[in-house]
Amino acid sequence: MISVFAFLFATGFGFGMSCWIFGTLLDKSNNIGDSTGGRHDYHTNVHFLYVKDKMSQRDAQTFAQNSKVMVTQGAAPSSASLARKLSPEEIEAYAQKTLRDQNGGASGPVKDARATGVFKSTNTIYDDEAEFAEWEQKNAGAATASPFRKLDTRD
Amino acid sequence: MATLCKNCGHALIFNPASQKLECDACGSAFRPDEIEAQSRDYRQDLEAEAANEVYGTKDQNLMDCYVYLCSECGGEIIINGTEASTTCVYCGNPNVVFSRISKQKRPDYVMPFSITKDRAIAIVKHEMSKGIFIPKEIKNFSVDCCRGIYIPYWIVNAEYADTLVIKGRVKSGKNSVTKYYGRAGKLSLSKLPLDASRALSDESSSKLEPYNLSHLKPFDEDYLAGFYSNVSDVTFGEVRRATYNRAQDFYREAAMESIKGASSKAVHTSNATIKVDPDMSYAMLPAWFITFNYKGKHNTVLVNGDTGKVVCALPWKKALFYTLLIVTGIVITVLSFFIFKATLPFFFERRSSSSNNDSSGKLIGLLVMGIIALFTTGIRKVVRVIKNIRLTQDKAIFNFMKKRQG
Repeated sequence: MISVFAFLFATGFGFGMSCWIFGTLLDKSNNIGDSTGGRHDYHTNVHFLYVKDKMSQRDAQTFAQNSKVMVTQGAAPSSASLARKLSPEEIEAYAQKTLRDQNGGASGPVKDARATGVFKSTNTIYDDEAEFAEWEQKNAGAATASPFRKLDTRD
Repeated sequence: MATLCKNCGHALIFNPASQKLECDACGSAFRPDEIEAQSRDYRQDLEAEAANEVYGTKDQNLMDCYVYLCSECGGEIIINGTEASTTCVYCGNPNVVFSRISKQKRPDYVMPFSITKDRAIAIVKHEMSKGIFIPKEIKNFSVDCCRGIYIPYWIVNAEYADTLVIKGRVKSGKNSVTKYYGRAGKLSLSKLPLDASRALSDESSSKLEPYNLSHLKPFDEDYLAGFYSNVSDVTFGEVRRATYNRAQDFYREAAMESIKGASSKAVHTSNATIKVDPDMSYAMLPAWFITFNYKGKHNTVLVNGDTGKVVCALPWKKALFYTLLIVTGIVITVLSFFIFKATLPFFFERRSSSSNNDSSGKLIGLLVMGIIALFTTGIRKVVRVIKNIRLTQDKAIFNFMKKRQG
């Protein structure tokens, strides 16, 4: 019994070892230059913002949801168009569009004007009496009656 | 159109050894920046015309063929849709298709060949001489064709972000358990070169890397004289996808490296985004393509025209390989049989006596795992060689190199 086990183990080990030795030798002998440019060749800078080790599966799910790191794609030429060198004007236009998109854009989220303090409304509310009088005078010739004008009570 | 010698009017060819444009006829040599761009404005308006239009046919085989006239002899030069420089089949003079590298299509940079044709062949022969399983016929190969080709590349900058969860096995007492590792962060890529030719597979071109990008020079058509070249034919989407794939590989590699003390590491979840800077640089990088015939199959060896890195996988001496594999296997089997026969009773005795049951069982389990690991590692390496041999014998790469005039 021991001899049978010894034979099986020896055969496995012998041919496994031989396979590994000659596989490695063949790779070194006949596979020339089988490597690509690595991350150290291209000055890649990796910066981990959130690191957590030895988590459970539940914690891993929470990590994936709560520690999201993303970059905004930004405006770019159409994927289907042939790659070409863009002119400085085009690059500037894409940069501007990206900026616009990041700030909400035409269809983006509306920011609270009062919170940002940069919003200038054309529908100004006049708190000052003098200002209101000036406004009334300016709009006196308007076709529609001002809600602030005195009603004409003549018959 | 060729750049002509100021002294005798003969076509000039760029010599990688001297880094100068040389005239075969009178022996004059000029630095590329010395040459006046005579009639360049005129030449860049000369278009290569579609072959079907020239011949008045609608032949499907001529769909990607264009006709250009040699500046030296007036002979017809047939080029494909992406070739930017070639050699006239009638007079052997170099011709640059200026309309394809002018204005918006003009590359920003070129990396001139620094390895000469003879040196490239010598490097390949030297590399092959070291292989113990490479057949003699291949070691003493006669070059079927050797062409220096400038490959178009886009050099991109990008920012990549990923929220990565990696799972791995860690020891916990007597057992090992699965644990999860979170790595959320950013990666910035600077000056990453990406092959911009569809005809050349990314797998082949990426193996030519790394290129030393500090050797790049502002583009000058004169560097193309005497070499073949292609122009970019990939889309913005393909560039973005290729950048994403490379960035993902780099980020995952860095994340895996940062995890210590875990085995069998694998990506569990990933949430990646990328931003590619639209201000990309267009460059032409050099490579030598050397073909030879072995047993009726074309093998194409690639040599980086700047660093001299050789890329190929070669057919092996199968009889020698399998004989050595079996003989060595038998020898190790016989030797290890006696060792196992002497040691196994000790393990089995320990197993039967209850006290050390676990440790003996573990040793046997470890041995079985080790045997499986030896087989899989060895087989994986052989499979990798076979896969790369297929790449060396690939018809697409052969056609990319061979289907050119001259």
